Amino acid sequence: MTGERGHRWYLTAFGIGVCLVAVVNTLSTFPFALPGNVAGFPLNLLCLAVFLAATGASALRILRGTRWRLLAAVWIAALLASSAVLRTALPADQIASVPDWSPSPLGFVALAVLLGQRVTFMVGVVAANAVIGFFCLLKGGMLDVDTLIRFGSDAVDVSVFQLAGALFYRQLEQIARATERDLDVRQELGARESTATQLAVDRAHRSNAIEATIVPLLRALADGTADPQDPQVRTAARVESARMRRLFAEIDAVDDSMLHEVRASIQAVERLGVAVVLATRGQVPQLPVELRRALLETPMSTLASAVSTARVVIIADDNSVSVSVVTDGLPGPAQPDGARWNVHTDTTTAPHVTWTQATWTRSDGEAQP
Amino acid sequence: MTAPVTAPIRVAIVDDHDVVHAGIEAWCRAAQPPIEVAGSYTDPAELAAENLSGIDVIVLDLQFQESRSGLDVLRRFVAVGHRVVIYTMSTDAATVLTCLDYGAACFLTKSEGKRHLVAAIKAAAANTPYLGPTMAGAMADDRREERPLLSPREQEVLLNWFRTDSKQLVATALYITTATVNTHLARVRTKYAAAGRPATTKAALVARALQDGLITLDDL
Repeated sequence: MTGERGHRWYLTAFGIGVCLVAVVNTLSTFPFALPGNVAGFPLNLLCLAVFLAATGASALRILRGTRWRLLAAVWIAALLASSAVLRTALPADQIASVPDWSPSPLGFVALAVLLGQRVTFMVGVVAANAVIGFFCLLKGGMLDVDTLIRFGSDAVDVSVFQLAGALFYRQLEQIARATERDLDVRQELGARESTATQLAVDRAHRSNAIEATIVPLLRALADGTADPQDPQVRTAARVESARMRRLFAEIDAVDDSMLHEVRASIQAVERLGVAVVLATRGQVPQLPVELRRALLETPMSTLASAVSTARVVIIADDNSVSVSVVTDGLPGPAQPDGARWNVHTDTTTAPHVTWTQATWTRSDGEAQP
Repeated sequence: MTAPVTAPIRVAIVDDHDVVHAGIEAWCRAAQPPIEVAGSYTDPAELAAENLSGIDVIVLDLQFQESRSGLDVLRRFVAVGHRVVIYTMSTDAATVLTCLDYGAACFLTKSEGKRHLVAAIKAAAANTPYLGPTMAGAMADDRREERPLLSPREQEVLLNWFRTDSKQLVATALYITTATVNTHLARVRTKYAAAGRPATTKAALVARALQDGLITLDDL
């Protein structure tokens, strides 16, 4: 109920309050329409049932927060008919004397039914009810000035509260809608802002990652201190080129980010003529970008140094992911951030072959990333 | 004293791509001793029973252009006692395990190439177990209730064989010899042959493993 969404709660509380008033008003006035006071019993009980059913249905609608139009019209027609039946059954001299029968209990029930509708509908119902009462007086020949003044005064006194209630609810509903729209707009703006902030942070991280290794290499090539024909320089260039492809792949919207980044690294070495076999088992869980970097950095560097063949295998389940690369090249540098992300990296070498494997294991109590 | 003369292994190749036929034939000719390609078929329907007499091993693809199911063909060949090596593009674990369950002697993907195919054909002809890396990956990831019970060490060897495709690296990483790696892989393959639906080819593989002392009845 807290915050701006609480306006809806006020609407519901007000609506239920109106329903309670309608029930109390109906039950307190109906004894005067019971046998002894009126003719036509038990039709009166059917009318009582209509009043109570309309109030109950309105309470349910208010609690559910739904709107109705056609059904409201049906209920109003039934209520006006019931009000007419009841007041016709009353002796004409009692219509303007029995408490609350000048307007009849219809007003508050109609208000409950019409909450949220245009206020003019409520004005129409109140007017129609007054006209019905007037015709009952006319039929009973009670058109003396005193009776008319009492009838008119009672009708206006009660109707003013009902119309004010309809107007208040309508205004409160409009305020609630406007507030919710504002809130949605603010939330959307907030989401955009945090996305933009995250993108900026990611971009800065990528930029740092590139500047730490690629910029010095390019600078060395530019000032001639690195020889492009030197095998070590060529290997470094391959590793950095593959890293850049992988970092750029991080911003793509794909289902399996890690596999996508691995494929970007594979494409980089395939363009250099390396035959790569990629095999996967299991479904890689969604991992944060920093964890993916810690996991992929060393194996992908090993992949980038492949001479002619490479085998890349990813095995994953909900609690661990391992990335294994076997090549005929040299091992990649160790990942300094590995321990921070619970990533363990192993390298095994044999003649003409290097096997680098990085494994992330979810630590005890660690939530799904 | 001269070495005993043994008849060459005779294989039939069933694959709808000519280039695959050409490649396998070249590898078989270059094998030591050479393997004889006794028949090449682009459609499994061409391979009638009379053509199969004297064939030791069938190399079978699983996907054919006319949407004929390779699994049905495999089942038909295995039912009459032929030893079949699956050689296909498909890599998913479910297909691998289904083929093994149907009685395939070995499952290899086309990326696993010459080294594994020639060795697998020889192993199938001799009724000895052979386990390629893709098979190992599928077995290590096997979650079926009816899967055979593997020891933690066997599981470890399987995973590392799948990762590296190098017994030498597996042996180095686990501080064992390549012979021990081979033994573990052969035991796993035999356990899989003993599990699941019965098939003549699977029974022969298990019988041979028992005769060679690779496993005992208690292991099954």
